[in-house]
Amino acid sequence: MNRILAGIIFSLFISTGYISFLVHERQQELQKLSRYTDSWSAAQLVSEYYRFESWLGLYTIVDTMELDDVRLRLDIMLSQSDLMKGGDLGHYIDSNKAHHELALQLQSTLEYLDVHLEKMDRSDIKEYLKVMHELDSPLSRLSSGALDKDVNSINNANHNIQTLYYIYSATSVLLIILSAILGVLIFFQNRNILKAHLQVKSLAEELQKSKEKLQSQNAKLEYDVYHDSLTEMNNRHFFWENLTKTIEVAEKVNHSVAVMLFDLDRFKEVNDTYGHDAGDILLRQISHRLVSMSLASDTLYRLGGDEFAFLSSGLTESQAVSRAQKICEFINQPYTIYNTIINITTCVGIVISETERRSDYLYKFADLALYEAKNEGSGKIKVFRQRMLDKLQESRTLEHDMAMAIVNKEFVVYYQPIVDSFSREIYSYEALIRWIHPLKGLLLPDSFIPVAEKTGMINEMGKTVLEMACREAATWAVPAKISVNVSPVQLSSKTFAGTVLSILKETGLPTERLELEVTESSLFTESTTPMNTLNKLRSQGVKISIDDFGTGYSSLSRLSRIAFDKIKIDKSFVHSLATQEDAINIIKLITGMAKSLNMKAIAEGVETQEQLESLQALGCDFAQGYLFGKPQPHIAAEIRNGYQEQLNCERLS
Amino acid sequence: MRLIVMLLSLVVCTQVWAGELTKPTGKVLLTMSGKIENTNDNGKAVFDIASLEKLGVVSFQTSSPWYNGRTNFTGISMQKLMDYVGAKGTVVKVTALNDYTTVIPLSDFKNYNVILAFKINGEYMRVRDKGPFFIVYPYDSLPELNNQIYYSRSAWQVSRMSIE
Repeated sequence: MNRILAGIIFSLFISTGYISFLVHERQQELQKLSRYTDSWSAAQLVSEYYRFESWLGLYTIVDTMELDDVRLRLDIMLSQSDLMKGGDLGHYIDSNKAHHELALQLQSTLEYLDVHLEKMDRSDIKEYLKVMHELDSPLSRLSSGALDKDVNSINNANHNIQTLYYIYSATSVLLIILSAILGVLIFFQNRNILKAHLQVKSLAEELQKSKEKLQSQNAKLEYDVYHDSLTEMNNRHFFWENLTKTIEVAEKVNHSVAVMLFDLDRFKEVNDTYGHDAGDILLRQISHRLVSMSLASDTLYRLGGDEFAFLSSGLTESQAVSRAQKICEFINQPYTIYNTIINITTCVGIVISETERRSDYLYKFADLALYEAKNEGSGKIKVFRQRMLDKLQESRTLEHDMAMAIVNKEFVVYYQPIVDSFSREIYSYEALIRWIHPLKGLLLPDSFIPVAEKTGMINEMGKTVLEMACREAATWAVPAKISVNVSPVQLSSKTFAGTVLSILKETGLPTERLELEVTESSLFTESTTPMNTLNKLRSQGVKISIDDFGTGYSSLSRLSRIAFDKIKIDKSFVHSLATQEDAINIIKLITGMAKSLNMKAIAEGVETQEQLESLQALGCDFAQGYLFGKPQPHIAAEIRNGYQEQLNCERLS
Repeated sequence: MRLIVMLLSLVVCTQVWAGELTKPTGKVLLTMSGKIENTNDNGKAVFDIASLEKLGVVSFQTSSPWYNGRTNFTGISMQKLMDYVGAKGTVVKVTALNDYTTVIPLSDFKNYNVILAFKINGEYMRVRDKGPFFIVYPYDSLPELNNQIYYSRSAWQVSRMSIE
């Protein structure tokens, strides 16, 4: 298409140029039309000749005429006849023989006169006129011939002009045709452009549509990014962004920032008991309630799982606490799920800060408060205090120190005797871990075991204690038993049984001399590992005691699955022996149960003779407490060296 | 300065040319009549060759329909001659010895460098050589002059001019 257009435009250029050339050519031809010099000159010559003749004739008859006048006429005639010798007329005459001869005749006639005129009289001239007369008709013919030639030339020019005109017309027609084609092509081109324009337009519309679609998708994506899919509540991501914004705004207006974290109590139990579907429905109902509270300018979030958050600024502590209480009240209302009424409470950790502007710190502080609340029990609300942070830092330091302590062997084992309630003979020693801290001195297990359990260091620590205790016990002269506490964390490790057995083998302590003390909570896990571990060890001869019995949630069905060897009655019951009758009944129940299950009962924390007597009366087999000995780094000599040795010593002294 | 000199000389010239022209001493060959301001013979201006030559001569070479090749013509500028006699009309009627008459618009003299030639190839023109005067256009200088109109205006054996 473009090539055709270019070709046509080029042809138009050429045609127009050619037309200009034609016009020029025509002009040249037209010029010829106005040139008829030959005929004109010839006519002049001839008429001059006739006139000269007439002058001569007149001279012969008029006496008054001067010869000078004749001479002037002759000169004029001669000048005219010179025209035949050169120029256009000369060329014309030379081209024709007859004309040439005529010219020679005329020349000789005039030359004769030129030479002889002054000597000639009137009669001579009269005679000569006859000679001159002979030239009259040939000269006329010459004149008419010249005219004919010029007319022919003009005719030719006309003919040429005609031809040029035809070419001109043809070129013009070509021009018109080319213009028409150009017009048609431009029309098509325009139509194509219009079509392309429409296509572009529809493309643009489609683009607009997809843009809108994309925008709506983006909006949805943005919504999804900031909202929780289960409850439709603002999500954790949103929480963090808003926390940053809230802090920025609060900083400008010098407001406090309040962050509250909610954690549902025993939500796991709901899931376990009613299924995850019910758990999800519960979360949705809770979120629905929270949203329905429509706390103006404040925002609620679901951070994940059963954790919710509330964000606000400018609240005082009491306002924040009452707000938290109000939210708790909403949450605490009973829920009906699958025709079952479910009650749930929540703990709250609150931080209100005028100074702290770091979002992650605020969150951490609220989390610490929540941790405290959780530790205190269900439905508690705690506001962050500096001491919580200190405690955290302390435990961090402890963790660090503990890691060092294992390397530096700062842990030692203390031994407390367990005696026969009646004979008061030492039955076994309980190995108790102590930490000789380089700065803090002697530390009791309560202050560091939870941290060790939390960090997993309990595994290493427990192994050390076990190893030390077994090695110690293996050296004793009297084969008293050694009791070692086992943490639930240790029990849930699949390698624990192997560890115990290899230690026994290494230290050479007979398996039946080792007693492992486990708490009830060790067995309250989903996993079957603790149970399998204990069964395996027991089958090898290791004795198992259940520690702190009566304080947890002992399940008789679980108790029946492992045949324990001993039950340790918690010292809280022993201490209440004198004052509470319930305690007596409980101890009686436990000892009775122990007996019927072929277990031995051990009472902890026996400090007085009265307590011992009561326990004896209740049928408690063994006793442990300050009455018989405090935990000490060494053991009684009679056990270490044997009764015989002791007797020998006594005798020697 | 040059301009002032030119202007002054113009003034002097007009003063000289105004009124009576000096009479020629030789044989009168050209008679000018009609609307002219400067005369020397009974309301006419008459010239011999010498008086024309005094006005200053110009020459050029040109080809023409009457001669083979290029010919050198010498004479006086027609425009100058018209100025000299103070021609006031629009045309000049030129008559030759043989009574050939042609009418030339005065504008021709302004447009083209037309001369009244009295020498051909350096020789004074006799009557039999188309003398004494021949009105010559510079035919070669412009294509439009190669035209019968200008050929017919090119009168020879000129003896009289009448400004009308």
